[in-house]
Amino acid sequence: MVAGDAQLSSCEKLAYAHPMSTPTKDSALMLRYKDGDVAAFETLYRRHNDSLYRYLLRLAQNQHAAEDVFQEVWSKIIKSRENYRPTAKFSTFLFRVAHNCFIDYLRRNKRHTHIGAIDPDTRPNPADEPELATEKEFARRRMAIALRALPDEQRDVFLLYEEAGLSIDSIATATGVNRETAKSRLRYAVAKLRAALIETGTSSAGDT
Amino acid sequence: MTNYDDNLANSKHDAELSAQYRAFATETTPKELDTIVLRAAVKATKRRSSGWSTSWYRPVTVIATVGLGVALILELSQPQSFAPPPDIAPGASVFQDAAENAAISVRESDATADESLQLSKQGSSGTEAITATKSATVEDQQCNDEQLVRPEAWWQCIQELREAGHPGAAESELANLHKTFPRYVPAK
Repeated sequence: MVAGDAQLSSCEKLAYAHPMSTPTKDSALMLRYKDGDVAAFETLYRRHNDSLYRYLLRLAQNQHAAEDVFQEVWSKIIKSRENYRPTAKFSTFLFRVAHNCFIDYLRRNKRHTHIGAIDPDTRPNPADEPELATEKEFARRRMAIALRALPDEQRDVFLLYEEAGLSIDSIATATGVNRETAKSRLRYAVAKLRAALIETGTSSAGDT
Repeated sequence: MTNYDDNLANSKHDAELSAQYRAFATETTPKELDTIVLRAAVKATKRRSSGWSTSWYRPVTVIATVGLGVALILELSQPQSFAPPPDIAPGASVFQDAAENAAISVRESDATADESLQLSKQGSSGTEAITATKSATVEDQQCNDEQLVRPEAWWQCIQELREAGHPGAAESELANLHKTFPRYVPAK
């Protein structure tokens, strides 16, 4: 699941340690940043930067686009500190902003090119390439292909579940759909990924 | 957790899928991006600290506004005095004084006019002669000022002038009596 409070460094724990050693909540860090505590923002940033980056990278399937949107998302988070109120989980807030920024990016750019995209139907046989001989690398490539093959909406929901650790309700809020729609999309995404991985022999479990 | 979450969490296949994804997704944020974002975060707080809320002119403005407001309130709460100008005393009757002065001037002008009429009838010429004649005939052929105040006394004076053999003077005084007291009818 997503890196959370448990991954605070010792220094961060020393700086923000509650008498009961409870890591500071994301919302508390954001409120501290609202009051000018830049160190609080850095802690908050380092908790979510990697998961957000991977989410945008897999969603956009384009590193340049992912980096542009990544900066835009954090810029909006920084600007929103003045009016920030912890009405929801910070991760829900962050990934809702990320989702909307990505949608806006698509509209502005109309199309996005895939860097290093490989057409699944014309991909070379991994067995023919020595650098992909390792099973681990083979599995990674299969996962990448399976994710790329998902419809955008299903991939989005799956990534929010895996990278952001959001619940169904939070995913629905972040993507602006109702709960049933979010649940359905996640179900289909998981089913398709399982099927794709089983088909390619990466899953050790048989089909159910 | 929802039912789906429970199923997902307990599903061997979905847990395996999640594990495969975690093994696959190992990218980290490029250091350049970290630097850009953190620099922006610091810059935003500095921009805020030099803004309106902490600048020096805000407290000065507040103090000045409060001071002006207090001064205005104190000024408006002072009782307004509209005392009359010092040269106009209450109860003074400027018009009464003016009326009295006018009556005196009218009487004096009538007296002067009568004197002129009398002198013209007598045919005297020369200012000194006229003046001397007037002063000589006041007691003999004119009613004095006291008699002119009341019509009865004035009529009495006219009778005395006639009896004294001064019909002209009497007629002149009678004309002036009628002019001054037009409604007066002498008793017979």
